[in-house]
Amino acid sequence: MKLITPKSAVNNSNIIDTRVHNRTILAIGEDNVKRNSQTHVAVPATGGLGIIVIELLGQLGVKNFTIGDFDWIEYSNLNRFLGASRLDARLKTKKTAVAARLLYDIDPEINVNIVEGNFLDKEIQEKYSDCDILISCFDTVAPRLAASYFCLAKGIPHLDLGCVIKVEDDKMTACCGQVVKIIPGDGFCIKCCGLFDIEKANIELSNPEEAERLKEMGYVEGADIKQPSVSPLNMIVAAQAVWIYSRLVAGEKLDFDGIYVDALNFQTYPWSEKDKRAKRSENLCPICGKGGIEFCGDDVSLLVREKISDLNIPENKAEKKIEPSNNIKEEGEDNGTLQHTSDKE
Amino acid sequence: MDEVKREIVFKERDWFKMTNHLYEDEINETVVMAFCKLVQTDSLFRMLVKQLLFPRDSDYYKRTPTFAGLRPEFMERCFRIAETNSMHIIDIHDHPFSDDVSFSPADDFADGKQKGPYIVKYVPGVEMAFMVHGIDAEDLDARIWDRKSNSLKPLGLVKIL
Repeated sequence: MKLITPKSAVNNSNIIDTRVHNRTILAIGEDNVKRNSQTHVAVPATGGLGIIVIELLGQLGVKNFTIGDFDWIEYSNLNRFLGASRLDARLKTKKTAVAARLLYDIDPEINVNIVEGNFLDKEIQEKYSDCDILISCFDTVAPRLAASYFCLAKGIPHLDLGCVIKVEDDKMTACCGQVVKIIPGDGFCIKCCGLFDIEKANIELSNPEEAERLKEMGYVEGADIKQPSVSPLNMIVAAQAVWIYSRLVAGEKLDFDGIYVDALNFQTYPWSEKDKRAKRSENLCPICGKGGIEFCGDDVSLLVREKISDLNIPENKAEKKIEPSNNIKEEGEDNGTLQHTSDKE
Repeated sequence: MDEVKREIVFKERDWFKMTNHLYEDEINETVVMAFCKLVQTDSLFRMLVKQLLFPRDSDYYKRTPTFAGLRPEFMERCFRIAETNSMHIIDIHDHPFSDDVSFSPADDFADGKQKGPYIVKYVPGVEMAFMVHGIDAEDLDARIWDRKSNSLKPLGLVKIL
C-alpha cells in the first residue's frame, strides 16, 4: 500500500510528540511515524485481541481511530483485557471506553471515534467507511465475512485476526492464531480462501429467532460456550498484525496472504495462496472475482444481518459491465482497461 | 473549515497500467481517463478506480510536449460511459518535462472554466477529478470539481493498494 500526498493537499499532518516516539523514529524512521499519525485505523471489535492491537497501534504513533464494540467489561475479561480493572468489571465499563482510556494515556491528542453496536448492522458498518485500514478481531464467522465484504467494496485494506485454543482431556491440543491480509485487487478474500464455514455465517446472519432455533437444533457447534483464551497467544497474533500494518503503511509489498501462529510448537510462518490463484483461469468468486463487489463502493448492499444464501450477489446489485460505446470495447484479458477496437487489430 | 477527506484509490495493477501508458510517449503530454465508483459520507469522498481508458492518437485534437487536448466527441463519449455505468471520471495527464509538477494555467482554465461547469450543466450524476503527474509518477497533484462550491478543491490523498 502506497500513500501519496498530492502537492496542493491541505497539510493536516499531526505533530509527533518526539518525547514519546523518538525510539520508534529511530527504528522505522520519522516518515513512517508521520504516516502512522495520518493513517485512520478501524478496529471494529474491541475484545481481548482488539485491545492489544489498539494499544500497539497507539504506541506506534497512530492518531486516528474508529473503534467499536457493544460489550462491557466483566470479571472474566480481566485475564486478557489490557487496561481493564476490577472497578471496570464492577461498573460494567464499556470495552471501547477502556480502549479510549488506554489511547489517551499514550497521547491525549489521539482522535478516538467510538462506534457502539453490532457490525452486522448496516448503519454501524457505514461508520467505518472513512478508515484507511480495518483490523478486525471478531470471534464469529459472519462479521468476519461482512468485514471482508465491506472492505473489498469500499477499497479498504483489511487484516482479519483470530485465535483458537483447543483442550481435550485437560490437555492443550492446539494453541494457534492467524492474521489474514486482504488487499483489494489481490484476487483473494476470506470466502475464496476457504478458511471459514459459509454455512455457519449464514446461520449467524439469519434473523435472531432463526439463529436461536438453529442453535437449539445443534447446527451451531460450540455456540454460547465460553472458549479458552489467554493473553500471551492474543499478544503474539496482535503483534504480528500490527507489524504487518506498519510494513504496509511504509509502502512495502508483502508477498504473503497471512501469518499462521502455532504457539503450541513455538512456530510462526507466513502462507500464501498465490500458487492457487495463478492456476485459476478466472476468479469466479462472487466477492473478489470479476463481476464481484470489489471496488463497487456505495453501489453494493453490505453484508448485514439477513440470510444471504451462499453469499451470492443479487443480480441487480452485481456490477454492470461497462457498455461498449461506438468504437470502445472491453479487452478480453485486460479486465481493468478499456481499449479501442482498432488497438486490438 | 472544509473537513471532507477526498481521496483516490487505485489497485496496484491499474496504477502500473496507467503510469506505463502515461510514460510511453516521453515527448508529448498523454491523457488517461479513469472511471471510478464512489464511497461518500458526510466526511469522506473516495474515488475507487475501476477501469481505465487510453485515448488513441486520433482522439487528440492537439498534442505537444506542453499540451494535450482531447476532441469534444471523445470527452462526450467518456461522459456517456460514466453516466451509463453510474461511474465517475478522473482526467489524468502528465507533464513530461516537469520534475516538480503542478497544474498549469491551461489546466486551470480547462478544468475550472470548461470541464467543471460543463458537468454541472450537462452531466449531473457524474463527478470529475483531475490529476497531473511529473517525470516521476509519484510526483503528482490532484483536485476535484466540487459541486457544492462550484470550484476546484484539492484532493488529500492518492492510495495505491
